[in-house]
Amino acid sequence: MNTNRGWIIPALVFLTILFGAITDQLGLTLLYHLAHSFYRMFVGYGIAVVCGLSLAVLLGSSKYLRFAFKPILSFLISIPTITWVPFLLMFTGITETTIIIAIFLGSFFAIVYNTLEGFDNVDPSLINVGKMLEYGKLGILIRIFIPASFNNIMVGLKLGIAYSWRALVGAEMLGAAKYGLGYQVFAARKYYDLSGLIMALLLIGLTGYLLNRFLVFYVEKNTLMKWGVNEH
Amino acid sequence: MAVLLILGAWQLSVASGALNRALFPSPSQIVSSFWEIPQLGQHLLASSYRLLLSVVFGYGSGLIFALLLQTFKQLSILDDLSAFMMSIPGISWAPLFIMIMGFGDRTIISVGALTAFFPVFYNVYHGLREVNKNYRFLGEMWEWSKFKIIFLIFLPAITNYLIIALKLALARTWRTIIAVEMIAASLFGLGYMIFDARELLNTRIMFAGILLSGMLYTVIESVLIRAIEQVTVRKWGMKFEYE
Repeated sequence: MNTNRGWIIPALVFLTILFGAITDQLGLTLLYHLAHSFYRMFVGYGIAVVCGLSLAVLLGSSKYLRFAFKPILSFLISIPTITWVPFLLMFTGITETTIIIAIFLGSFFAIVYNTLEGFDNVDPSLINVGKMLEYGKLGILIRIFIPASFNNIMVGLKLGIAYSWRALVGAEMLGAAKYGLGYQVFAARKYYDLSGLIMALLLIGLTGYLLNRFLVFYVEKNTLMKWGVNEH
Repeated sequence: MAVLLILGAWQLSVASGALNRALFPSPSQIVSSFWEIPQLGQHLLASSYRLLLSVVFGYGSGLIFALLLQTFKQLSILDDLSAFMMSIPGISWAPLFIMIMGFGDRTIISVGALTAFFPVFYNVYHGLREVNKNYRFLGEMWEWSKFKIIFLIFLPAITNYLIIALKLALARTWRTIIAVEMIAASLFGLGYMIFDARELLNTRIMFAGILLSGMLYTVIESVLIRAIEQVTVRKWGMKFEYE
């Protein structure tokens, strides 16, 4: 699947910068937009990863909890994240909090759901090995459950980052005050600034692509591929 | 069980005044508002009509593009580009399309179709590459035309990819359409309904909209996709797993 894709990232970065230079878009404002989006993404997604994984561990620890909450989770996943935004706007107003919560909601459910799915599919004999070696509950979690279901956890993280990025752009359109890539796209339409719009679009695509590649190439290479887990 | 518990706790805390009634209407109020929303049917109909048209256009063109790329190998540079295009969220195209076509159905459906296009194209294209070469040789040996080979050999061989593509296209397009409706809809559509309710501070309608958007999608997925799976892939016993 990953045949000669190496050239595409530099080519796209070059293209974006070239476009920016021609249309005179490069500047501090653009950097502000990018920085704001990144900051929100970092906080929202970070919280979602931490909370999502811990909730998955909590739910995974008891059969009853899992049975009770899994249907709720699978329903909450199918609600488009953007529908929460108008509600959040009422609650927290046009602030960073709104956008960060939207990003959080975008990836949280996907992470919890996929991690749980992974925990469910751990080979029971592996768990028995852990019990036999007297690892204790925490030891079994860290040394058996998490490595054995890492494949699914990665799926959740990857889906999560894609959903979050989408949620970020949507939420910024509806609820950003001044900065953010989504805000820039939306504002550019208002002022009929076509080149600014395309610039923001390119940056949104590029950043989303790079975030995904980062997870796939950097995180996965250092974990799954190193351990020799057969991924596909 | 837990669902009922949570709903009950919610209902009670609203009734006792622990939760602000204006911000968090109780579940019973939300459900009863289903019957009170003016023209709810029209909102739902508008959204599903847009979903249907977008998926039809996006799916069709994605399929055709993938088949073209399969036959003309020189175009494979487009495949690399599509991985990049796929990571542009559908909604960020919306302002561009509003600029070109103004508000209304045309914009929403175009953005939806664009969102549906890439996952379809990507999955079908990669499915086509994994078709066993011998099947094609078989068709060539029988001196079938290219057209016949595509319809009788390639497409059946990638049915599982076709279904995954449909699933992804539906899921993504649904999300995008709701979002675009908030920005670009005129008068009808679930997204418009939710966003409009915000302006009037009507939380009951907002919650009803959130619930309905989840429910409608769940229905589409569990009924439509299951049915298609049942009559094709499961019946044929194909290897089938989600991506």
